Amino acid sequence: MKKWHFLVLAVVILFLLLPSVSWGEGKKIGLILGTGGLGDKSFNDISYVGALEASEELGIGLDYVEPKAIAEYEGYQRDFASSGGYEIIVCIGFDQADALDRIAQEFPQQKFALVDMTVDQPNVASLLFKANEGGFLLGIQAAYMTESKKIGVVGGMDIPLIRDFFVGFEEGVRWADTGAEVLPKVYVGTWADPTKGKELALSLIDQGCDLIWAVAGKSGLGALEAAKERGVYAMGVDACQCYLGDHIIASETKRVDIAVYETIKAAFDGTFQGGIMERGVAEGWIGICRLPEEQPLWEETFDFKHQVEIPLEVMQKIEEAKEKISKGEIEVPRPPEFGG
Amino acid sequence: MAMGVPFKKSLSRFFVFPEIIAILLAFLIGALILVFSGYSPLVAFSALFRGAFGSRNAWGQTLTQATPILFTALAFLLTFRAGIFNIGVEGQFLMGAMASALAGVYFSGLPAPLHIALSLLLGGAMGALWGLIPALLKVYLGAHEVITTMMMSYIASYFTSYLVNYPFKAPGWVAQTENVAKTALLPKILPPTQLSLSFIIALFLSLLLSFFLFHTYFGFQIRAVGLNPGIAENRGIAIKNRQILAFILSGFIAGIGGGGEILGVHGRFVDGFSPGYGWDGIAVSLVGKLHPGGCILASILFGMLRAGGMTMTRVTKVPLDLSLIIQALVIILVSAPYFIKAIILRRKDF
Repeated sequence: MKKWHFLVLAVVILFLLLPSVSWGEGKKIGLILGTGGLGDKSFNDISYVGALEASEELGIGLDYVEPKAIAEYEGYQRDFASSGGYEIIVCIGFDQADALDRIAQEFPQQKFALVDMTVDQPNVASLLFKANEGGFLLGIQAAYMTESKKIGVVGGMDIPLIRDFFVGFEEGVRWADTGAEVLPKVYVGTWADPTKGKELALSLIDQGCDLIWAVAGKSGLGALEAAKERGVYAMGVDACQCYLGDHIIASETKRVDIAVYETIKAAFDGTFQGGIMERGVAEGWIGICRLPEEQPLWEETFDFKHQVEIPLEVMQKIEEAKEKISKGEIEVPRPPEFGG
Repeated sequence: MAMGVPFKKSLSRFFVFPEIIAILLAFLIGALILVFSGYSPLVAFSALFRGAFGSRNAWGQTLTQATPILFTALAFLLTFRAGIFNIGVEGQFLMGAMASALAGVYFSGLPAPLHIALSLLLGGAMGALWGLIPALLKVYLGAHEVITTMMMSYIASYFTSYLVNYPFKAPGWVAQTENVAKTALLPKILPPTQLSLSFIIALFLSLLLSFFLFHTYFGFQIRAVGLNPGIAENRGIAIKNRQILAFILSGFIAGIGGGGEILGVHGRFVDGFSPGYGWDGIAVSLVGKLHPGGCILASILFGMLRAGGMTMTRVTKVPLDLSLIIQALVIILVSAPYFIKAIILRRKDF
């Protein structure tokens, strides 16, 4: 029976090696990230920062998962919801909407939040951002900083969510009235192809652009690289991406962290409400990183100083526009899908 | 397959046993990795098993995950038995999925059973067609199937991605087709989980394939071609013909699997819905000892690792990759019978 010795030994070793771990009590925070996953220094990382902040401040456990494919969302959502251990389940990314629509009906008592898309269920808070307003502010800066008067934009996908950034951006360029124009927009078609992002950006630079704005997830990193290679300015998105290179002069910030944080707090306060929450510059959900009130999100940006100075009068213009947008004096246009 | 007779005999004594040892060993190594990464194996593995078998929901998840890889494992197995290393199952699976999805969306007015059957069969036919191409390339042009099937997989992957991004894209932000008609949806067999009739179809196909391979003359011929093409030819078996047939049947099974995944789980073709089911099928097939029954067990093991892995990563923050590591260890250890046998017999003189 020697072969059984091995088995027994294996089991014994297994149990001897167990450090003891206690399970936390009480309801926790659930976070289902988008398929990009952590480490994107963008959308997913920002969401995680917000959830982590809420978790630390409230002293409540946070469980998160990183699905690899759209097909996995439903399984994870049901896994979280059916465990019954979560006060709120935060779903990151518009592509979770289909699955969440089903799961929210299946678990009507469970609170959910969804970032960037609407799910019309009473137990789902849909967190939407007026990205057009940040685009507007960035557009003003771009209009002043370009010398060739030609600006290029690279989008991840040709979808309303991304067009929203660009509609505002173009309006900002027009509002600044420096004679600059935005060349026809190009789209990578995926969030994860930096090589193609770079090619598209290079073609824009070949057409005379000396400033590239990339709103394209990981594909956008390729566009930023292209701008560096050709020595032209670039702009980033979602969080301050300017530490990636001195040529990146500003980024639109989409503070998913604040949105996630506020929603989680509301869930634990008992003030959670389903329905659409749409916020923009006025509420601090949208901004640009050159504004003094912006806080850095991770270590690369903690002691970061922008290398390219923005002239004072440009800064004043941006502040003025922000003021007017907040007060509703400037209404930044939106794509038709967002009621623009 | 050219093992010496004595070894084969002694191995058959442990026909099931080495696999179980291999699986336990894989978990043990996984536990060591967990310990060295600062996690508790008890907490992690109990979450894994709870997530895989702990509730109705968990069973649903496990079997849902097992279904597509059972189909692809059967598809791979069939060609492998005919001496063909068909690594293009992924492509056949995707093309079948796309055909079923389109049939589900664009045919209407059919009663449910007919609509389902028609969509699945179209999926199977598309998969078979995708299998036929490398078959013809191999038989008539001598192109090696490892190259051609792999390339056909890439073509299928990008082609279906193109279709779902442009011509058949539903309005909205996600690259996906419209929802298939309600009449084309496979019934769920364990509501509210995603588990659908597709799983039953896979089990049924396993039985059918087992019967076909081991109890029909045709199946015998296919196995003969795989075991020794020279002798098979001498005995008057038309090798080319049998290999083409194996390819077509393999593609058919994979295509049905793709269709089952669409009509049973997603309800539409979503770009990138397959995280590589075709490739997993190859491993499942080998772990299942190239037998339909073994494939059922192996696919449930893999489904368990995926489904349980989800709960494990949620509860313990142990990355899902650890499940994949265990999966890889199972594959390596199961395909290393000498090693396991040495452990069992404590002998070093192999």
